[in-house]
Amino acid sequence: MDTEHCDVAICGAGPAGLAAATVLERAGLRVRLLDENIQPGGQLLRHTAKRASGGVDRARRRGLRMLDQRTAKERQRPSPQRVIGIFPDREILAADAGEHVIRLKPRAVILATGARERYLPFAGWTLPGVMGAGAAQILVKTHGVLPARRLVAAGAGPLIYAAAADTATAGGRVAAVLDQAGWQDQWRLALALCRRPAKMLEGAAYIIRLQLRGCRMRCGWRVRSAEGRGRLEQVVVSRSDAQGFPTGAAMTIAADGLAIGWGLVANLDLASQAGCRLAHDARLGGWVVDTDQDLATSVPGIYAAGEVTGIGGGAKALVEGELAALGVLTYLGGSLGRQAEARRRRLNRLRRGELALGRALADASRVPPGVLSGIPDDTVICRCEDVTMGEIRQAVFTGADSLLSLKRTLRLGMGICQGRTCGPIVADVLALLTRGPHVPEPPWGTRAPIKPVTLEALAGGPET
Amino acid sequence: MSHFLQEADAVVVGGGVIGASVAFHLTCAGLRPVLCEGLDLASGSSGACDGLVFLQSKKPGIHLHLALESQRRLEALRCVLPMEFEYLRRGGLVVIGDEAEYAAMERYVTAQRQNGLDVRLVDGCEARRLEPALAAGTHAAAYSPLDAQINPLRLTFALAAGARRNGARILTRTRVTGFERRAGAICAVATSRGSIQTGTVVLATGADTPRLASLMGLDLPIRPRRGQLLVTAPLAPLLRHCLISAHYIAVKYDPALAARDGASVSMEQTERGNLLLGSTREFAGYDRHTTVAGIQSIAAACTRIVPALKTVQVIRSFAGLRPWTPDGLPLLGPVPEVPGLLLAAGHEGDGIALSAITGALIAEWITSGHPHIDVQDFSPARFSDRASPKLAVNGIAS
Ligand SMILES: Cc1cc2nc3c(=O)[nH]c(=O)nc-3n(C[C@H](O)[C@H](O)[C@H](O)COP(=O)(O)OP(=O)(O)OC[C@H]3O[C@@H](n4cnc5c(N)ncnc54)[C@H](O)[C@@H]3O)c2cc1C
Ligand SMILES: Cc1cc2nc3c(=O)[nH]c(=O)nc-3n(C[C@H](O)[C@H](O)[C@H](O)COP(=O)(O)OP(=O)(O)OC[C@H]3O[C@@H](n4cnc5c(N)ncnc54)[C@H](O)[C@@H]3O)c2cc1C
Repeated sequence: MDTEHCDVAICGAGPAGLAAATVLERAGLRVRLLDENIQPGGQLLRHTAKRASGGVDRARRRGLRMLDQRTAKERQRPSPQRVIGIFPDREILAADAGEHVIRLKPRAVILATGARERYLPFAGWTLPGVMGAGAAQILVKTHGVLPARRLVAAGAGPLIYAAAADTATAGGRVAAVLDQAGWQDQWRLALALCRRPAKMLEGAAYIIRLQLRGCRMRCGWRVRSAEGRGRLEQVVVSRSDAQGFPTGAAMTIAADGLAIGWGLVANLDLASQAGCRLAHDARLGGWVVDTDQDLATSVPGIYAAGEVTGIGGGAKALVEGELAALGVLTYLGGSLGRQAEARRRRLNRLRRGELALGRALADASRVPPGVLSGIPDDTVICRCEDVTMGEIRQAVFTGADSLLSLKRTLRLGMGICQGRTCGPIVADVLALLTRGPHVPEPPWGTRAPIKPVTLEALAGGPET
Repeated sequence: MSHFLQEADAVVVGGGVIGASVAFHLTCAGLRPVLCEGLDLASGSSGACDGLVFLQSKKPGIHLHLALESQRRLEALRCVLPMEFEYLRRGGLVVIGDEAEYAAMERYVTAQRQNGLDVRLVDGCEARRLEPALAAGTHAAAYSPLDAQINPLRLTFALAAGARRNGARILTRTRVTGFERRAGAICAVATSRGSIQTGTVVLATGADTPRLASLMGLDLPIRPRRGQLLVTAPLAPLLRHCLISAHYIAVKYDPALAARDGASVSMEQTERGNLLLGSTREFAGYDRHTTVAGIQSIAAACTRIVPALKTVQVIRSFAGLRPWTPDGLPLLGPVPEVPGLLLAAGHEGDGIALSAITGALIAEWITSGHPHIDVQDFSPARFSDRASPKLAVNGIAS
């Protein structure tokens, strides 16, 4: 196994990682920017089939500029590299597409691993045709593929409108957008966005596009089940109250695609493996990496930036990437000039604004308890190990009253995905079933290798 | 916390496989023990280990004798406990790397046969006939049809469920914080949720036992010995047997062989098809992290012995702390210095295999004062007898 030394390893090349790399490279440090995707840019700057200018979104425009400046260098990268583990003393293992594993020993690390979608199970959620709103967006934007001929988007929060609008623009038919959040929530969000004309415009553009194409948009509605033989054929929906409990009569909408969005959760795999302290903030997506003003985590030499410190979007990620880079520069012994100090203060101010926006968005994609309590017993919750809601209820009833004991009793999260999908769901369900502490337990930590890798690769490659 | 205040026939500290077995066997003898576990059941080593009931790896003599009896009891427990624990008697192979190991294993196997173990040496050809996945150049192996495997998590839960069904109280997230003594003898246990009056305490706290014993002024020679393990994605049946390398035995019993190159390896395929590949033996304090070096050495050693593993995907790794003792044997039975205190700890890499017999012996001690097997060799007193008093008593604890 080859060992490489560098000054800073940045895990994740989304807006946060890119912003950090730009600052650190300018300061002359040897930086390793690691991302498992073929293209850098993360979720915000996903390469669109026809590359856009970034539109009205300033963060996206800035991010794309950063990408442009990098491409020459990035093209020399051998291939995408997924970080499969972080060990004591900041030792990192990364694997490329050819299953070649390298060991990195950086002097400092920035975790910028972004976020992933929050999934919430309901009857029929495993039918082909049901997908995450983000996944639907990726299909359209990155692959130029329509997620469905007739799509329903549901859940809560802005992501479902974005997925629906992108599908509509690409020529797909969107039958309905159903938002669990009621009108009050929408007003609150609109008020918060008043200070962000660009975001406001983006939202308005989605809604107008959808309206023009005859899509039904409803607030205070939710999906009760997805039905079909072998694949999705219709979606059963109804009105719901503010707590998420269905109120009105059920009705069905014919559809071959259902995009579900309930906001995002931070990608904490590496942070929890590194032993970074986590913090819970329901208004920033739940469990996130706990950081100080300089974005230092509780582990010396490890910093965090972007969605991992709290769901707040692309602009927050850019600000934090830069802040974390400044933090690392000081950690590695450099003293920042007056200019940089001033910049740091400015970034900190900007960050507070972005956090406020993140909280407003989180409120709009809040998961009310009624959405969780109605899950039928035969619904599969852990897809890797085939564990149903009924088995979870039974286990909790017979005394498995913590996340870890559920894992050990039911093998939840012991499959290939290590509980990435079902972890947040089970935490919420457990908190509800035990009526326990208001704050759900922190997620199971994932173990190295975070994503599967062959024994030969771990052994150090083919024997010579 | 007054609702918590209570009395118990006995308090078992620790909800690993050993504590659960002790609690279960106490209920079989008619007692109503309370088990206190600081975290959740199987949070310690019992939830972070292989599940080998490997007889060939036990030292000929009382150790092997105990293991044989434990296995018989585990088989019987399958019909008694309210939960299934995936016991599979697959038979086991000890894979021998070269002549030097063969010579050592020859002596070892002869002694085991004299102890009544059904085991024989086979050459490379026959080893591969028994286990086709072995590498082409396999030197030789020792084979016993008796070696078995178990799901250690489920065994722990099954024992605890059995104990609960028979009237034991299982208190999880109840940490024991101290012991009250009257005239030297134990009279109560202090926990994070209140105190429990009792005259009998069994420490089944695995590698944590020295910490608890020190509250009573005892200095036990148990140390955490870390073991790292890899888990693969579920596979179609690949291994017919449980496998260990001869080096595994060498490391346990023969310091001269242990110093040689090679890793001590164990491999088993679980009922769901995942392979468990282990494991390292390191003294690293109470640190339960896996390491790059540990993962790499396991991967290298396993792919050498079973080359078909090269393309198999590893899906996670973890580490547990074996409760190591200087002579490789557990500490079982009463502690002379503290009346009312019994130890059931220090099983190192054999706790799953020895769980059933350990529970039975401790229950016999508590109910009748003497177990049906002579277990002098396991007495905690063996360390206090030494010139340097390891089990020194210094006063009364909290
Ligand atoms: C599905 C989805 C769709 C979204 N769509 C939009 C949108 O349309 N508009 C918008 O404003 N915001 C969108 N967001 C929000 C988005 O998270 C932020 O806008 C922004 O991209 C956050 O930047 P980041 O750098 O923190 O994280 P990300 O952009 O998510 O970047 C994190 C990067 O880390 C990499 N990574 C993670 N783990 C590893 C590992 N173990 N090894 C190697 N690499 C790793 C990932 O591949 C990714 O490239 C979306 C989020 C998601 C999850
Ligand atoms: C990698 C590895 C592989 C192994 N493979 C095998 C194998 O194949 N076969 C085999 O037979 N054995 C194997 N072992 C050994 C086996 O795991 C142990 O011997 C056995 O689990 C010990 O069980 P225990 O109950 O004594 O300890 P533990 O399982 O560690 O239980 C001790 C319990 O005490 C609790 N505790 C500690 N302090 C307190 C307190 N103050 N108050 C309340 N509770 C407390 C802990 O939380 C813990 O749950 C292996 C071990 C490792 C690490």
